[in-house]
Amino acid sequence: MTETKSLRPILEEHPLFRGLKSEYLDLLTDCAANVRFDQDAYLFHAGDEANDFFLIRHGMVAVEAEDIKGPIVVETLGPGDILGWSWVIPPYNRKFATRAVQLTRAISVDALCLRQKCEADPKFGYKMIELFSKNIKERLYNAWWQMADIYGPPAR
Amino acid sequence: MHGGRWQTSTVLPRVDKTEHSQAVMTPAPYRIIRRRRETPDTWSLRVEPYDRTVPVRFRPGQFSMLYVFGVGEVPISISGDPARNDYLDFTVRSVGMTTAAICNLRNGKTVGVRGPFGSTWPIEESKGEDIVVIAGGLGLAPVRPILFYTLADRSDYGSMSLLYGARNPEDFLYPKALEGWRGRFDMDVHVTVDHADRNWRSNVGVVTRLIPMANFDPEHTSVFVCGPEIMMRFTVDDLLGIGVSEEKIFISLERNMRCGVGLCGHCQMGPEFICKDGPVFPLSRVKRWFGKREV
Repeated sequence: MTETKSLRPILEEHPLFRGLKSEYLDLLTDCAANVRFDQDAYLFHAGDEANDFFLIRHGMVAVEAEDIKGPIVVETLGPGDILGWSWVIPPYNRKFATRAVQLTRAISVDALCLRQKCEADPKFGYKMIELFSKNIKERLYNAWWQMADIYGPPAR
Repeated sequence: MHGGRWQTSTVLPRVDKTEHSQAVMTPAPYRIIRRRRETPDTWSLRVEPYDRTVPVRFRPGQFSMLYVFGVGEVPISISGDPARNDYLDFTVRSVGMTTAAICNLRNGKTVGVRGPFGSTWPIEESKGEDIVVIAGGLGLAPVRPILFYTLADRSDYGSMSLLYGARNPEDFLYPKALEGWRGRFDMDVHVTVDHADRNWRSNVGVVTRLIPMANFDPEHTSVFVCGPEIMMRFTVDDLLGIGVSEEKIFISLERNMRCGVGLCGHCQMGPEFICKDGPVFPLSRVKRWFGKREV
């Protein structure tokens, strides 16, 4: 409980939650916990149930897609980044694996707990969706940019 | 010339019979003295004039027209150290007939050189400022002279950051130079790639994600950006978003340059001729046309 309380100021200062109403921060904090992952530990694998998301505080996490030649790193995330959107969208399954490239510390938010609070308070639920949609939009733009292979040779 | 502290200057080659810069329309013969493969389709070439009594001069940001006799001519940014007056460095990607011919030239072979042409990165005017250099892919070549120049007088500048994005770890240009810059205590270097295997233990993602990692004061920073236009557009948006002035964001544009001196009109973009008025522009001057098609 003491540990959970101490997470509130961290959540409050996170760019995604900056300006969030105090009561909403309380709801979020109730579902949050500190976690750490050693180098090369997997946070989750593709196909896992999306029962949490992470706010990375220190370290680096690689988002990996499985390929027949081995895993391909499609993105890395670092301090201040949000990891995991699958908790928002049914059927709540992970599409990618994520691995700690180095010792990583994060705040984990229990998605089951948060979804219950979203359902109980639709205004809070809408706020969460709004905040995550913004993050999803930015990441999608970046993914399209990466897919465009702009540094490759020009099309003939 | 375009006046003002934050305007880049248009520098036409001086008509001076003692220098190779007289070669406005007639290519001067240069000899290949070194060639190095950077990536599977990209080569760096070092060339020196046959007449070695004549100094070779350029300023960071300028380009030359390289001519392979009997094949064709292309504009290529000068990527070497501006303090050297005995040779020029170019980095060329083999994407067409002329660039393939340039990349195939062996040591001792001859290439025609016109120029240098075009405007320059305003690094003299940026003294006292923090410096951020952002490059994507082959865009590291035109900004490399900035690094040679500023690192030679490092104390004249505030913090220095290089943010560089490439397709994959094998496609980084100048890996030894990158290693050297990363080893310096007075310079901040961050790199990223679009994709990598799991042996790569650094950033994967777009180059704009490196901007928050750099240590600079947006209000007192000059930013020099070079890369594919879409990369520069996203980068500029992020820089403006954190408070860098459009007067202090400089971009290097690329168009179909032919004559190099603003006569033929092939490289016109709105009212500007990229070869003569650019290739380096402050964003404030070209924002109206930047990223628009058919202008």
